Amino acid sequence: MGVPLDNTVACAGPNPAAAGNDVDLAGLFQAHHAELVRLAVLMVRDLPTAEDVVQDVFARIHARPHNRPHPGNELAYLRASVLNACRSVYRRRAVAVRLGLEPTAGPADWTVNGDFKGSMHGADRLEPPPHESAEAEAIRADDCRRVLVALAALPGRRREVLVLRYYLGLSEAEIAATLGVTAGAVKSSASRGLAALAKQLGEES
Amino acid sequence: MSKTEQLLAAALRAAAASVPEEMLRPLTPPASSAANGATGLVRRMTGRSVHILFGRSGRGDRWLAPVAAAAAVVVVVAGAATLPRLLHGQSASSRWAAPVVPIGGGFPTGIAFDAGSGTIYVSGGSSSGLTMINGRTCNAQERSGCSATGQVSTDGSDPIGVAVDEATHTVYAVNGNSNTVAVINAATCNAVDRSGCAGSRPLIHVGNGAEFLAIDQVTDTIYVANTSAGTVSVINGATCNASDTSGCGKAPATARAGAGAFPIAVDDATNTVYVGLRNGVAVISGATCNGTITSGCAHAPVLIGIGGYPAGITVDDANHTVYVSSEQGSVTVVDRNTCNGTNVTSTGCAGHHATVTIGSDPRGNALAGNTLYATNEASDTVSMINTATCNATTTSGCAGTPPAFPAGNSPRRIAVDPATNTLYVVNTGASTISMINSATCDALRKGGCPAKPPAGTAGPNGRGQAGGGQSTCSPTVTAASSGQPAATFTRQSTRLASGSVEGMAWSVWAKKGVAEPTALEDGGVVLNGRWYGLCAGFANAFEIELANLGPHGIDYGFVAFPGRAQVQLTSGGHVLPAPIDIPLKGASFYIGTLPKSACAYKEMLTHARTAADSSMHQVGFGTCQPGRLVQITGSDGSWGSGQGQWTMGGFGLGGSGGGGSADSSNCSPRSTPASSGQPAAKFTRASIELASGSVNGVSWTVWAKKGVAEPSALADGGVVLNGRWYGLCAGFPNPFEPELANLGAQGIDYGVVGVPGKAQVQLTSGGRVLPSPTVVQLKGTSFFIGSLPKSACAYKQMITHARTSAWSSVHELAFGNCQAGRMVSFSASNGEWGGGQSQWTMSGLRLFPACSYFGTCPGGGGGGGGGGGGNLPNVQDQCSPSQTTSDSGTSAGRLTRSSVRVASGAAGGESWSLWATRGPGGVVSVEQGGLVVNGRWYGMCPGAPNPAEFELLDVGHTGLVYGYVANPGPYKVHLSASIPAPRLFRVRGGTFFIGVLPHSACSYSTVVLDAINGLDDMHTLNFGQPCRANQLVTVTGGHGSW
Repeated sequence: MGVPLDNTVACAGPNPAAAGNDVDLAGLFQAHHAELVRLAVLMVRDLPTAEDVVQDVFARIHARPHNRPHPGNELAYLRASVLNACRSVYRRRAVAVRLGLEPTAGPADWTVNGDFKGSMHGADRLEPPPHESAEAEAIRADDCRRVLVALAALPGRRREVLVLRYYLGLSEAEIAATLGVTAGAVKSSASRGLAALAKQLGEES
Repeated sequence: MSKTEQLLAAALRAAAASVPEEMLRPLTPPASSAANGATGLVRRMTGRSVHILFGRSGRGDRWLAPVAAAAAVVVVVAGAATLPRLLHGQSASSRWAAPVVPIGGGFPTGIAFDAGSGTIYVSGGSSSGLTMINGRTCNAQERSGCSATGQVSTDGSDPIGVAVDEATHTVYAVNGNSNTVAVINAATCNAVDRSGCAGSRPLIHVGNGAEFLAIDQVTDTIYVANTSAGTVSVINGATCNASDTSGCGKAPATARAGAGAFPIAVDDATNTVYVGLRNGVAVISGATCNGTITSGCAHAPVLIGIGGYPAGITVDDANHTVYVSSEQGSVTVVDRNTCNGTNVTSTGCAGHHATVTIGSDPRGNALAGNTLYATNEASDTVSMINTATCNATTTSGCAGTPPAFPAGNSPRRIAVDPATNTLYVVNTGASTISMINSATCDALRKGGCPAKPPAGTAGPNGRGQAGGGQSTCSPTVTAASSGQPAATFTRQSTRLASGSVEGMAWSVWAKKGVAEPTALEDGGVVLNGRWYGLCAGFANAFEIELANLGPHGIDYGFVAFPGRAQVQLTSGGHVLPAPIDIPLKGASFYIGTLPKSACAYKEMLTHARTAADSSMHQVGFGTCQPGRLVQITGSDGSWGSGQGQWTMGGFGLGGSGGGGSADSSNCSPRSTPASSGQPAAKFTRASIELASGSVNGVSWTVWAKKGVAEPSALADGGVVLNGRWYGLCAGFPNPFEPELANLGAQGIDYGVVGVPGKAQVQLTSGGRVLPSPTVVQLKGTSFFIGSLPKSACAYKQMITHARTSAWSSVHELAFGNCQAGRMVSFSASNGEWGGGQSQWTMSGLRLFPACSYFGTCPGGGGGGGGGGGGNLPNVQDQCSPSQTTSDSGTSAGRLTRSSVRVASGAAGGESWSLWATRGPGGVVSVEQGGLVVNGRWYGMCPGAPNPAEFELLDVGHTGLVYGYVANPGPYKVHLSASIPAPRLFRVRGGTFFIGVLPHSACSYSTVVLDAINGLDDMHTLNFGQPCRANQLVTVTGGHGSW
């Protein structure tokens, strides 16, 4: 069952680590909105909620002129705000799913505009390279999905650390600053999270 | 990058790529006029989401206000279009912010005040504990004690609600992820006296999704709102408190509440429990549903129709009013006298209630004097309602928008200390507590209200902005650049302290013009006129450097936590002379002398402890040149444990380019079968006896090595059995190690659980639980020893679990060579340690060969946790025989003769019965049994260790689905493809389910099972041909996650 882990997966996607910075709020939105929404999507696992989270963050900044991020620190501030807002979503979602308020259940409920693929409540909109066979595409899609399912099952802090490291490419110090924890806590969370992922993926191979 | 890292990075990019920018909601154009004359933002409600619309004009321009859109799109939510009236009238020079207490990273929400000790307890959320603030020295008027906060663990995950029973001096804290309530002695664990904070504490198991709680002091009952379950757990505080824990293990009664039970409050006067639900407030009679009388708990509560997601409830005795904050932006006023547990008149609970419009997303509220303070989580404000003019009797003061003052980021809950007139507001987004003087800041007197948000909380998580809190030090100190003449550096620095060490003068300097604590890190140490930096280049709060300056090395560093630090250094298991510690401006600098040359130390394990924090740092050392710092080759650690405790050792060093020769285990020598079973005298002479006993008629004693720090002392020690020595050092830093000794007809198992608290140890082999070993608590760890039913050589595989109140682990072992009088060699090992939730972790891990840990694999493979291979015993499969399609549906006689029936019923017109094998029970007995339908047998064992299995059976009109969740329940089971929820049966610790398929069993190509119990176990199966009547449908593929 599953695919050996040495099958290199060349999933497409922009490198968010190269995002730039702007100073004014509109500029910040213009520059970082999409990246922040993507970050929130990786946390809360559906696009509408992710957009709400990010819009809430910008709205609060807008409403608090005395409490703006300092120049040079805007992106870290925004990311931290988004992650904080996502934590609220986790808690409320755990309730909402149980109460049947949300249409999906389980760690694999990736939705993009409510588009479900098959019966797995997921919507991996991968863009396969042109030379890839259907089988390879399916295998690669399955690999990605398994990883994301395993990631979603991790405790919140470990998930956040792994996303910040492997999606945004942040250093340990940057992750520590974003999450408001020490670098040691970042290291510990990352290594334990990876170990848990490796075990999960290894079990299914 | 490892394969896992590559896969993770690729998967994250792919998932993010599924959100191209063109799919995001477009920004709306600016509007032409204000809505309701308000400036600011207009919100649109979509289901439970709130969408903020804002606009831009052109590119890169300022925000425009107001914003409006077509009426079909936008609904102006009451209260949100009119922002809370922030206080004005203060001159710029008098604008001030409330003082705050930072409480570290996490997601704090709950807060409670203990009048007995003056302690404010704040739940840490993701930081897994409570912060304790001394309200007598840290309040709205006094700040001297604000830096000395304490910590206490709640022995669970995600503490949320916290409450204090003043009568029994007990703090109850809800662990939201663990569904437990921790019981803490407030008399011995508070901001002043922390003697009772260490160790494990009683845990009460409550319902699913527990968050907040409330205490009825009259009946001594603790009510816990279980949000996911929609119930209230009812705990008898008389038998479960700080002094009497006899009743803590008993399952509490459960009261009906309703969907989304969230905030909860008790009115002692009327014996009423008010529970906020998704769409109202449930009114429960505490007279008939409490810790001793539960006859009324099953009654459906009366509902007060309050919409908008109630999130905070406060009862005002003086005005007989219940105030309910709702997330939609209002506070509802309910008459307590006509709507309580015994009096629910038609107009009391069900009638119209006055509402007050406040800020955005209100949460908790609290009463002080004649003011109800209500947090507005999304506005970052606290509204103040005059309860004298807005209550159940008088509602004239309910109109209009009450005044509000700015709080920190995302204020959620409030506690009040009436003795100091202090409101403590939890700013969840900033991880701080704001302190406001309620005597000068209330609904009528606003002079004492802050006019701007608290300082230093602009950044999320309370860490402030660049330059404070996190290390941004530079330049990074390196061995090569160290030891330069000091003048260049001291000209830019300020001297903080000086002394002498090993005959050398030293001074420590902080860089000028840099904020603390970075100033110290950007500074350095001068030794004999030469400069040695303090900046390791990454944000560790506890750093160490070794300087090679003579026959005795110099160690120095800093501890970036307030207060004097205790620093302990060990190397090779030996404690080194303690350095002196000098508190400096919110951090500590330490310096000391080593017994040998700095070059002699290849690794060092360092601990630092302050009153409120503990850290551990394991460092590897390399190149060592005279007059320079010793090069650091590897580093790993744990900082900010926050409990004043040493943290555990045994980390694997992460290298910076490798080259380190550090040993990742603190014990030595490694126990091997070849060296085991020697005469004990040589070893006992160098050891101290800790405990003794006998097992299987064999005398045993356990020893710790003299002169070695704990916990290595025990690992370096061993067990004496019949006068022979057997070691306890496995050679790598697993905190839970079992060994088998072949000493007769029955094997002996023994080992160590290296975490605090008495451990429970369970051993299983071949799916069968073995006799439990005896566990002895030794100096903060547990030693266990027991007897096996058969010879030690009979066990080729074992799965071992260990559990303490706050930790759990699993270790799967395979055994090989077995000689008389010796330990049995193990051939493979894998495990998981530190589950942290008092749960057994799952079995079925992939085993890695032992050579992978010791670098002795053929072909040069090595490193911890390397890939598999070789002839390992099949330890994955614990049930047998495996079920296949072709052998399903045979006559059930053979099964039923060797089994016992454990459940039965009918489904889709078909009679069914569930059978478990005779002998030892447990989930395996069910997996090895089977289901009988119409006299035919259908198995439960797929042949793989999945704890959530199901089958489709083509029988009757359409077919049946059945399965078994072999994890401890209870579980809820959902199936995809529009299959109705099956019936559930708790059987032998697992959950059996069976249901009728709406369509022919042969028509399903894919079905997903989602078994829910806190987390989710998901299993997808693909089905295909053949699909024959009275047989299981063929499974063609599948995958899952557990």
